[in-house]
Amino acid sequence: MDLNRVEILLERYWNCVSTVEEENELKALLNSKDLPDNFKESAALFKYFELQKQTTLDAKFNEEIVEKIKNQQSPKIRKLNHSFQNYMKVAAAVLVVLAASFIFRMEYWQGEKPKLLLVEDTFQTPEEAYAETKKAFMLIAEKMNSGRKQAQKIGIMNKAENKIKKEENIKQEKK
Amino acid sequence: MSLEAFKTRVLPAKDKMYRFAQRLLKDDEEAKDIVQEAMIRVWNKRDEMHTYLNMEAWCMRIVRNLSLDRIKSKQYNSDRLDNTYNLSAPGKNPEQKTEIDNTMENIHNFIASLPDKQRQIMQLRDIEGFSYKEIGDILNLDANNVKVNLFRARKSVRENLLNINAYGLK
Repeated sequence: MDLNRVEILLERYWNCVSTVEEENELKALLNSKDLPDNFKESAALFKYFELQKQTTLDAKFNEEIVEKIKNQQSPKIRKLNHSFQNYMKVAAAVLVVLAASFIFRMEYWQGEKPKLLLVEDTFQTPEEAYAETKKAFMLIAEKMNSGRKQAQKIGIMNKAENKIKKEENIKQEKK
Repeated sequence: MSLEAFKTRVLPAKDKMYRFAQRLLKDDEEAKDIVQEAMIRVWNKRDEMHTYLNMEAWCMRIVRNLSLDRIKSKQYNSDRLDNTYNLSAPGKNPEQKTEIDNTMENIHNFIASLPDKQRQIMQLRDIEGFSYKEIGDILNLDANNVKVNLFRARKSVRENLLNINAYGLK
């Protein structure tokens, strides 16, 4: 057994400069029976790595997976299904809008009564209407008269002002 | 990819995927479940498979992502007992067997106590034999980062082994 080779490979291993192939070679060398005691702990580590590899899945796993895969739909079909679902969503939305507008239009036409271009009466008899109109005019007249009285007062003031102005003008002419 | 191609190219990676998931989840059944899920995901994405240069590394990456999602969703207890070590050395007398088992257990516990990144890198390199580039692809790290973490992990393990040798079994 080439102990120098083991030494070199181990040093390369600890310094992380060894290749995967060199590490496999080292595993094989450390697995030999006539290994000196100074390599015992390194051999134990590599033994541990080998033992870890014995943890495996049972043979049934392959069958289970293949069975599951066979039962799966292909991605293309799934994609089609997916896009079909999207189209259906859009179609459903359009249908809802159409139905809503149809119902609205139906309601609108049914609810609307033909309107005549006439002003509807607010009183039952012409006499009543006459009395009410008269009342309204009386109210307007009353308000206008009270306004007029106020305006007359302003008129008196204007007359007085004009009179004073005229008298002043006559006085100036005489001078 | 045909089913036959899937059987020859993807299915053989199942044990590596299982061990990786087992280390991440610390639960055999959960790990098996994750591998199944990953296999089905690979099958459903078989049309884009040609874009991945390394099939195994791609599968391992899916396993890692699914496992991390599972851990997040279930709020895994990080102190969960790692009981993946159940191996005994065959063909030895009982005394030798006990000594080897103790050493193996010690190594196992020590590696399990390493920081996550170091532990994952060590497993992918020393147990599964992936290259630095492949490990980088699986863990989404650059090759130098992988090398630095592996160096730290091996250094710690070496020191632990020297302690075993100097003071006997812990």
